[in-house]
Amino acid sequence: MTELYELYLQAGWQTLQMVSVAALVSAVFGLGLALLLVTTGPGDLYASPWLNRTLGSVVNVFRSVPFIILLVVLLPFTRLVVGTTIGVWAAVVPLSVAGIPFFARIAEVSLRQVDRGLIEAVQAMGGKRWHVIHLVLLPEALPGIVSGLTITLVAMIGSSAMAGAVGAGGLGDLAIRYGYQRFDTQVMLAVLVGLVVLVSLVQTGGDALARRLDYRR
Amino acid sequence: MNARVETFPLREAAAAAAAATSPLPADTVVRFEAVGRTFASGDKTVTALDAISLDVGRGEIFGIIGRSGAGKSTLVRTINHLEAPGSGRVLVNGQDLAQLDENALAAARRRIGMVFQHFNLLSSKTVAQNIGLPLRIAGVPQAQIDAKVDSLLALVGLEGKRDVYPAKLSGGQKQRVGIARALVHDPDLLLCDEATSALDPETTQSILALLRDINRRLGLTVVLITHEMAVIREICDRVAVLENGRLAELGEVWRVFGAPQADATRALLASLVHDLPDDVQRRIVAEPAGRATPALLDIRLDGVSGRDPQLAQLAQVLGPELQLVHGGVERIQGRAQGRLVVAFQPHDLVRQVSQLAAALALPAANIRLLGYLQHD
Repeated sequence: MTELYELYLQAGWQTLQMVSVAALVSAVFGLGLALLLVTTGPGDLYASPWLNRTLGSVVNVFRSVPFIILLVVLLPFTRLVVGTTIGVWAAVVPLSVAGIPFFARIAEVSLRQVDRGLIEAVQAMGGKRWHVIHLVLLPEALPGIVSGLTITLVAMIGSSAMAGAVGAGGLGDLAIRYGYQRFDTQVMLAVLVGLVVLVSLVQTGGDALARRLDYRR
Repeated sequence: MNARVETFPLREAAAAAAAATSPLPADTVVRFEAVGRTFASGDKTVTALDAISLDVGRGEIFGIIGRSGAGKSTLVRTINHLEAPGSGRVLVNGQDLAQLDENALAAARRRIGMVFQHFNLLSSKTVAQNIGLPLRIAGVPQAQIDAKVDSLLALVGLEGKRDVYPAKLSGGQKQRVGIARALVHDPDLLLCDEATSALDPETTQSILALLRDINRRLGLTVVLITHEMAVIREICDRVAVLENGRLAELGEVWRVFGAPQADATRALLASLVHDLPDDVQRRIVAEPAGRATPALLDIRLDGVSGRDPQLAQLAQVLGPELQLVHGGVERIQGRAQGRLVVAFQPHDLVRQVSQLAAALALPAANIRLLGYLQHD
């Protein structure tokens, strides 16, 4: 029992590691990608139709590959980046690669919803394009971006269950090996409870933060 | 008397103005030189502006009016280059903003304040942060920003709202924040894009009063666009009427109101003119029904003479049985304007009308016989 308990804690820790690092990477690069998508469209701040179309296509390609396949396809890339194809870090790479375009699309929606009048106002007061981005686009879209990050985190917790395929461990892996393959219902239930608690915490925390950042009400 | 004293530039004149490159006279803040702009809409091109040429003088409140889609929003945006003119050019204090790079354009825009219909305040910043934003962008030290923001809060009467977020303000208060923000760089030109169109009538009055006050106290030139003639009447010195991207009429407000030349102007003024009430309308007949049928005259006061109509003069010419049936007089820029519908017992109609025109110093065309007033 103690052994299983330790396995459970270890698996939980692995999930937290994988998801938090991958989420951080996705947040930074995904937001950057979203800004590029939003500002390079025709008539936008840094209009570049060619770049806009290319980025859009790349995002679509990565968004259409199922995660379990991405995990395998990316193995050479994973080895290149983290030097190994097994363990927690090997899972962080595909989780991030899937998370970046996912979050980018969600953040893109929030950024596009920023009132164009605000952009015009900042331009009229002598603001340059950089000011528009960091004074208007980012702060005004922030509540939506935080909500989007919450969605990304929850989706990522789900995907991390497949990370067992590269020996990264984690709660999902524990549930498959013990709960499914060894018919240990107790482990299965414990994992499920753990996941539900984790997802609930993330969702509640994300919602609360998004609400606090929203001054429009 | 010719009411059309103000001549507005026609296209030939506009082309000539565009060819001349002489610096602006000191009292001209904005000069439009044959400004044109088209938009692609599907496979069609829509002409938003068609060879607009006009000057805005220093210190005046200049109104631009037109129906929605007339091009007024596009025109005002060419001043601070939010919209690039497709042809012609716009000079602000002699400078063509189209020639500037991003840094120089940003610097030039700081000299031009702008107020928007929907306020365009950042929801994530407090009132003080919103007002101070243009200074922050310009890299002004925070202590200086605070001092400036406090003086502007006092100017627009929002001292108590310093650290409140815009969502907690009423529409009028938001617009006061918008005006304060537009003034933070001490601009010499203020652009108002339908600044009162989202406000209720009472708030509109207070915002217009604030704009007039600022114009007088700071000597600020104001270019104001609106679709409401009442706003023009309230505060503008001169007005340009746009229709389908063309300049339909240009002149001093009292003149345009008193003697509109273009159909577009008359259509816009229609909302301010009250038609004869139905009960009077029903009683009008073309020919006198008997010897005692009163004649109905429509007198349009255009304000050109600068004299106020005197009732005694009216009675003297039209006789003691003169009745005021309908209409009213109001003062625009100190000139009496309006419409009076009067009934009287005519004895020599043609002579009486010409006497009346002379007495009121009005062109004969301003006095019209509506018919004869039958008894019910």
